[in-house]
Amino acid sequence: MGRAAGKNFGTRDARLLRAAARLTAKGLVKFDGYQLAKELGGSWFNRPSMASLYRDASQLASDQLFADEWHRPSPTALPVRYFRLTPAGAVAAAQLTGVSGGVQTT
Amino acid sequence: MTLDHDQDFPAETKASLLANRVLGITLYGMHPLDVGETQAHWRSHLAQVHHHDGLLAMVLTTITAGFANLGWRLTFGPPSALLPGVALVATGFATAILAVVSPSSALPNIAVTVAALTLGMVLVRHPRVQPRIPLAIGCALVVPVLLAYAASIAADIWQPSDWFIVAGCATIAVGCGIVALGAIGLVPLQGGRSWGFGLCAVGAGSIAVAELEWLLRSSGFGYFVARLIAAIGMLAIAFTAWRIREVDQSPEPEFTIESLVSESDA
Repeated sequence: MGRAAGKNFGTRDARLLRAAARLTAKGLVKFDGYQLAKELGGSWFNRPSMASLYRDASQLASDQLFADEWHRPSPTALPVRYFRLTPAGAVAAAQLTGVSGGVQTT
Repeated sequence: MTLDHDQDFPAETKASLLANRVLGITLYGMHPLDVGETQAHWRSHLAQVHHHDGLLAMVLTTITAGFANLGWRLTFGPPSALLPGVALVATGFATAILAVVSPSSALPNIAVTVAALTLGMVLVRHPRVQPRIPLAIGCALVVPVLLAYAASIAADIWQPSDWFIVAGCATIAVGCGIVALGAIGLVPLQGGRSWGFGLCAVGAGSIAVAELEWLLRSSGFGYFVARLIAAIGMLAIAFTAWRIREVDQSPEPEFTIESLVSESDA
């Protein structure tokens, strides 16, 4: 949780945290990478690639700013990794954006 | 990672699995744990892109992710077979061009290429956990060739930058010797790898400097292209050697998703 209290976020980390906070504020308690990518928006020039997105999200999960779980939405669906903001992640996002969102702590 | 490919996935999911398999080429040589997790991410993402945004969007996503992943791996990524591959192809092309434009120097250049190929094949074959015997043989074979080449260049210096090639070849030879000693147990394996590949990286960098200087002096287009490719190849070797020296040689388990996945009740 080292980075949670600090402000040493890269640009991409900050964008991910802000997008996660917006999704949480919309009532989406957990979200997958596709939803994160949609929320990030942007043009082709500044949109993070799928490769970068999951690398960054995994790093945020390692830093305990995201919690994650693998889940198969239906028997014929591929397994999906869902993320949600942790309390520490919500604090970090709030520092970055002023959006606190509702955070599920369980 | 295991996935039941006989499962009756929807057609768009099968298309995303195919795209993901193509993308898997960019993961070649990565640790199985990282490959499994990355591909698990990518295939569900591609399936959703296909479902929500269409086939074209999925293809574009595949292409951009492929380029992004290649770029990342060639610069900051985990050690892989990609850089040795670039190095081998570049060295091979450069030697072929040099052999055509300068037949008199073809033999020593080809000898060095064979040495680079030998070392490169060792690195490509097992980019992460390298078995000791092939590593020892590959590195030991490189030593006399490079020392002889360095000596021949030192005896016939044309310009100051040639000393960078002499120093580079000699440094790589010493480095490979240390790696070989570590591989057969005469010095500690990890220490031998760390120092040996470190010296290889420094030596390759030295040769790249000489190639760049040659490039600036080159008069003909053939020489220019050959030196440019050779410099790229040597830089690729330098980066590869430097990254490989840091790789932990202890085996780790593969990524399995089954224990992580929860089934939906819906």
